[in-house]
Amino acid sequence: MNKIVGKDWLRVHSGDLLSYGGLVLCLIIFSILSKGKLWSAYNVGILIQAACVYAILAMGAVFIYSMGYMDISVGAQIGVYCILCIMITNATGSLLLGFLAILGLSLVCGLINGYVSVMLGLPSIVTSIFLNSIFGGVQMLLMEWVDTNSVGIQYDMSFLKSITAMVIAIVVIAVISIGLYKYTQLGKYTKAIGANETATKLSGVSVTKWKVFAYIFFGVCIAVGALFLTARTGSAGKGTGTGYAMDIMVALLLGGMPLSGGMRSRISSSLIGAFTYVILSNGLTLSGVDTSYVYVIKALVFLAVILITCRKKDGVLPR
Amino acid sequence: MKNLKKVMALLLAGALVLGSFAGCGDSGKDTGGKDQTQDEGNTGENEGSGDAQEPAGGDEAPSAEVEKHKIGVAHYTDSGKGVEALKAYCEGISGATGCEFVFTTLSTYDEATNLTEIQNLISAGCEGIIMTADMGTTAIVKECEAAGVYLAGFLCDYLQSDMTAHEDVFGSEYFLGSVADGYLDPAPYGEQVAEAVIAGGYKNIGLITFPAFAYPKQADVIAAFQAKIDEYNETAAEADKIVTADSIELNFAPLEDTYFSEHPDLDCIFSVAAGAGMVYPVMVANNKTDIKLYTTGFEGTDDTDNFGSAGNQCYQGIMCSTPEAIAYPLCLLIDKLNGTTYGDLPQTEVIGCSPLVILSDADMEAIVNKSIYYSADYSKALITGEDIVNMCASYNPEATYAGLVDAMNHLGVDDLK
Amino acid sequence: MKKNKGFIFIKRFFLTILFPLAIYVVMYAITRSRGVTYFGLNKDMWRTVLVNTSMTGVAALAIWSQIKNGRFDFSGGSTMVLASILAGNLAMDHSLSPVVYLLLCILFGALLSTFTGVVYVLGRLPIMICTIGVALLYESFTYLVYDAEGLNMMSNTRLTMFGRMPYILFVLAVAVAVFLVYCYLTVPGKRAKLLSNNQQAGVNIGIRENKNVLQTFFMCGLLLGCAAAIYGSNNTVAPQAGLSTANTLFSNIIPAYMGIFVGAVSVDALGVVLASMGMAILNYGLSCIGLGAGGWQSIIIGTFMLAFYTLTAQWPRWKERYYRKKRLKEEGIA
Repeated sequence: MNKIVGKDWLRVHSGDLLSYGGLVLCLIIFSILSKGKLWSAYNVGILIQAACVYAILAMGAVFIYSMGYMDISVGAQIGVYCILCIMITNATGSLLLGFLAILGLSLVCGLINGYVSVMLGLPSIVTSIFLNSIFGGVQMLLMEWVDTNSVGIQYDMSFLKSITAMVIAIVVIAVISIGLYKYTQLGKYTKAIGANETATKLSGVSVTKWKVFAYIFFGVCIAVGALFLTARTGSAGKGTGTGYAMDIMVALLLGGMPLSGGMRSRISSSLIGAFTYVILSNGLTLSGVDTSYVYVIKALVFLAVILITCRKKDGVLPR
Repeated sequence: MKNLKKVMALLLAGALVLGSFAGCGDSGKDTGGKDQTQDEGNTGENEGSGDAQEPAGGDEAPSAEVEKHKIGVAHYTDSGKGVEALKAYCEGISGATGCEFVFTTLSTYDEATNLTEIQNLISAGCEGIIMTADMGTTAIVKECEAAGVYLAGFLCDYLQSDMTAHEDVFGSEYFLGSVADGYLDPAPYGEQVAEAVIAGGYKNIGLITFPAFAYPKQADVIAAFQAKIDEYNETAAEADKIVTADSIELNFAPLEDTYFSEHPDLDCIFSVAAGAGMVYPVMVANNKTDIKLYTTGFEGTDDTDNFGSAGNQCYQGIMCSTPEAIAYPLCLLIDKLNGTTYGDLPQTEVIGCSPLVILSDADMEAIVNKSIYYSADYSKALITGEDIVNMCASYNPEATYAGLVDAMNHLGVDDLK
Repeated sequence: MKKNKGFIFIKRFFLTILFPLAIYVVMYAITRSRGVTYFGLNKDMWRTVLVNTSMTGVAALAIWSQIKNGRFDFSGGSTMVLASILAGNLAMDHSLSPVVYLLLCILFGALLSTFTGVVYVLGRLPIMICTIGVALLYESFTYLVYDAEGLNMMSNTRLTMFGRMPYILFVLAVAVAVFLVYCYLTVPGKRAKLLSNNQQAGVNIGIRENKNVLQTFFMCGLLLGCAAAIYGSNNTVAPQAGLSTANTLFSNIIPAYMGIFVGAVSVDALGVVLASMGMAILNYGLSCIGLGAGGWQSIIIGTFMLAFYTLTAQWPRWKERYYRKKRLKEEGIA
């Protein structure tokens, strides 16, 4: 009986085990290659700093990718939010006001992404590309307007920059995300929408409503991510946030998240993936690998991880 | 299916192990110092105070008394002739200077990426870091302060930090200064180009820069150019006067095709913005390579093949700075790490270096045949590892800061010839 | 009957070219009102527009060939970059002719794209994940080949023949022909359509999905090879990393999606090419009035795209509402 239970448990949690396995393998290999530098207090600190924003964004992105959608505007959004947060905080002296402003803006973007696309009958990728263009343009115009290459915050954000604050933020967002994802209708229905949107709609679930909620939660995560990004660097410029959309996608994949969404989606992918992504870059630098070879190693590791975690055994080819 | 997963898991482990071989195999190349050479350096003759000699090629024999240091080099790009030349130069000077170099690539766009790369270098054990981009510098300086790592600049004037965060960056004892990419005040290049344009007989000049908010000094170059042209026009006959179009700004995108329709009579373009990437391709696409191009930045590809009287003769003026200028931040870092400073060391500053200004076939020939920038051949370096050791106060008590600055002003084309 | 056929043809022709024509008319009015005289029947303008149309159109066709089969291919950009680097450097090193360069681009494009298909089929990975992985791999190869120097052959007027007028139109014609022949005149093309409409049903009736997928990837590779030939002729191709080549997908996806509507009364391939032409005319017009790059250009293009999709997405709803009203009126209810 115990053996059968063990086998069942393994079958159900094989995805989790495989993605954790990828992270553990990276940790072991780079511990050896870096001669232990990976575990120095300083290095652990910088890994948490580097992973913090990615983890927060990725946890919000899980809700979107669970539905089988994607959002490529996250990089441009985060850039604009960082700049606005700095400008408003410098002008008013209140970080809270700056954060509330970008939170409000992110909620509006969530509404646009979620509701407007449904209302106008557009594919989500279209509204995502639209927002990407708009925010990219706004970011450039903002820097032209302030007439400088980057804006620096004058508010003391040392607490938010500390490892303690970042760990607390990751834990709090993780608890909220897991709570929403596993124990509320939001998580249940986003996975259902990803599994089969038509069936979900026909069972009486308001797809629009839950889509909007998912994008709103993602918007909140983007705003929080922008706050911590601003705290970490203290400045923002015309290119802040460039490439984050792809980084989040790669991080989620490294964590074993199926991009087409559905029932196999899980929050742990975001945390595992964010740390794996950051450890890969960090470990290769600590190991002294030439920059030309870093990319091919990352690509091979990525391919190996996805072949282990995302492979569909039978049936038609996955889409 | 199970077998495939096992195979993939093995491949994953194998890839990471292969990475270790790549790392081990390339750490010598990356860091510029083979273990054997460094060992020889510890037991060999003292060459620290000897005369600077032209090395036969490859690594030099190390000085017996140099201390070993690990220096991170964070470059804003990871490909191109400039990068290859810099890596070759660092590899060449590694033995004599006792420095192990670790390279990483910065982002020209994202502050957080730069901070992460610098943190990775610190974590890898770098005691000093040479950085080539002014992006996220305030946070990076704070990070270096906390870690006790020194920072110096290369190919960057840190103008943004100077204007907006002077105290945080230049006031920090962990930021040692920087050498700019060429002249600190780039206006002289504008004047030189103006003289070349006047001599070349061009009458209709287009002017291009990057946006002023990002590159405020480029407008100074244009202003110096314009002043020289205006001076010429005062005494020139009506038919010989030179007409300059209003300067335009490229929004970090290539020149628009409509520029040539708007200015159909152009016979010359002066682009302070990176002409090789932003202007020349558009000229080729619009069959406008008969227009002469004066620009900054040197790729060593099309701009060599079509310079002066070669190829389509489009390029007529190029400016760039040579990798030997890294000696400035390196000497400051070495001395700081060794606990010695120049007697005449001023407050933290940014200095310029004499750039490679290529305005004639002879200049280009000198670059191609004699410069490490083009060939990535260390034997052609103007400043050797021994010279660097001689310029460090910690190895040569007679070395002065003025001498170091002076060395930076002898890196031009005339010094090659 | 003849009259009807002729009339129908004229109507379809007009509706097909309506999109670029409408943009041309609007931008003509705007540029003339700003005093710009070189937007119109100017030779330089049409050379630029046709070159940009060809560049974008060929890439958009390659992307569309995958999207219409339900596949988001992130590796198109990296395939194009790597193929151009390999083919271009080979052509320069061995002083090959431009025709050989074009053929090499197509060959490398086909090989690389087919390899992507093999990874997809054997790996049984979701397509987005698979193509992201392959894109990362191909991007990393750009640092390993030819000493990470990329490709610089812009100035070689002989080799870059197919990147300029009029030969660039030949490349575009080849790409359109390959697309149309494969999709509409070959059995694999028609099978691909069956699979895209209902994958399981297609497999159940005996279509060998793996073989068909490889054939489609091969065809897509031919198109990417054509795009690579143009790209390498007109740009300095530098090594790229971090999925920056995925921008090729997102910048060329707009004409790909627009192509469905623009080519609604003809064929989708023509729609894609004409949508590319429309966007090229729009971009040229914006350049004429000083909005060719920068923040405002990004906002205008994004808003235009949203407006286009919104209008075209409402079209079926309006049509349904119109016919419903008409039916109710006929039945005497309304």
